[in-house]
Amino acid sequence: MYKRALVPLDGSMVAEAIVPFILEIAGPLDMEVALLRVLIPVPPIVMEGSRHVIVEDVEKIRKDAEEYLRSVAAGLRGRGVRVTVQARFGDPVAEILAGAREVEADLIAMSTHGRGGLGRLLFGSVAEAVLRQAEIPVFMMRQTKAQVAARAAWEAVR
Amino acid sequence: MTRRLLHPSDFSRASGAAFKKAIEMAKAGRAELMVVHVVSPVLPMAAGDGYVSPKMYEEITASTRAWAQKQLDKLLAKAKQAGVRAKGFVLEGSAHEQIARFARSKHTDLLVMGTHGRSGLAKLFLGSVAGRVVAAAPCPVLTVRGR
Repeated sequence: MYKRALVPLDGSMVAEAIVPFILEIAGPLDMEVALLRVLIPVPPIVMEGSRHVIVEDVEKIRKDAEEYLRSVAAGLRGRGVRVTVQARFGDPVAEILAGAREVEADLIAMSTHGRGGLGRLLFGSVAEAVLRQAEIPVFMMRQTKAQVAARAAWEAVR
Repeated sequence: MTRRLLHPSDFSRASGAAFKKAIEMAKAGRAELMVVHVVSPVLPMAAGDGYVSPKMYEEITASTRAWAQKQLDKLLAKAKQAGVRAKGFVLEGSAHEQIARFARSKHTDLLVMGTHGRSGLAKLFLGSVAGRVVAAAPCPVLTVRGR
């Protein structure tokens, strides 16, 4: 049914909460998982009255992101799921959609922070924009910080 | 595993694509499928003095529900044909609220619904039921873009 799922992660616990669900559906369906981290580029910062220009170390940031993705990937591989990782720079929504096209994903699976009302108005929602624009099905799981914390605590106790 | 699938439908083409997916998934996971349609409360627009008798209001509401039930029955027949256990429900009220409440009360494991993929101005004005459902749903939501 599905061959390859793109899973965008932003480094937060909330985003990672989708991983158990992926395991549950990827295992039986023999699905491949493509992990993606989108990095938002920061323009060089010039300090007034100083000759220094702060330039972001792009390569280091990319390496860190890939390192992070590989740690998540290791967990999935341990359960017998095929995983690829990639890090991209740019606008999260555009890069998620581009990343999905590139790996020929037929499903995007992600968590949403589930902000509503004013919070949504102010911060916008990457998940909602992806949901609107994606041509392929989108699997979405709403997670609040409290839920994630509760689960982590529960797992620590077990 | 997914045991209870919920598919909200507005009987549009966008919903049709999601319905197909829902059938496919229900079959693969041997899940039970629940199809719901939400009718919005009738706002009578009457000519003349604007008075609508309660009886007439009843009739309008009843005919809307009857139409919805008929469309729903068509979907259920299709599901049955595909060998999927399916039940249909007509709800009334605000779409995303009713869908989320229904999902909570029936403890559904997954919601499968269509998106129209509106953008720009249309998105601003019409909003997206799917987006609001994701924000309110107690379970994961699979959205399928209609074409």
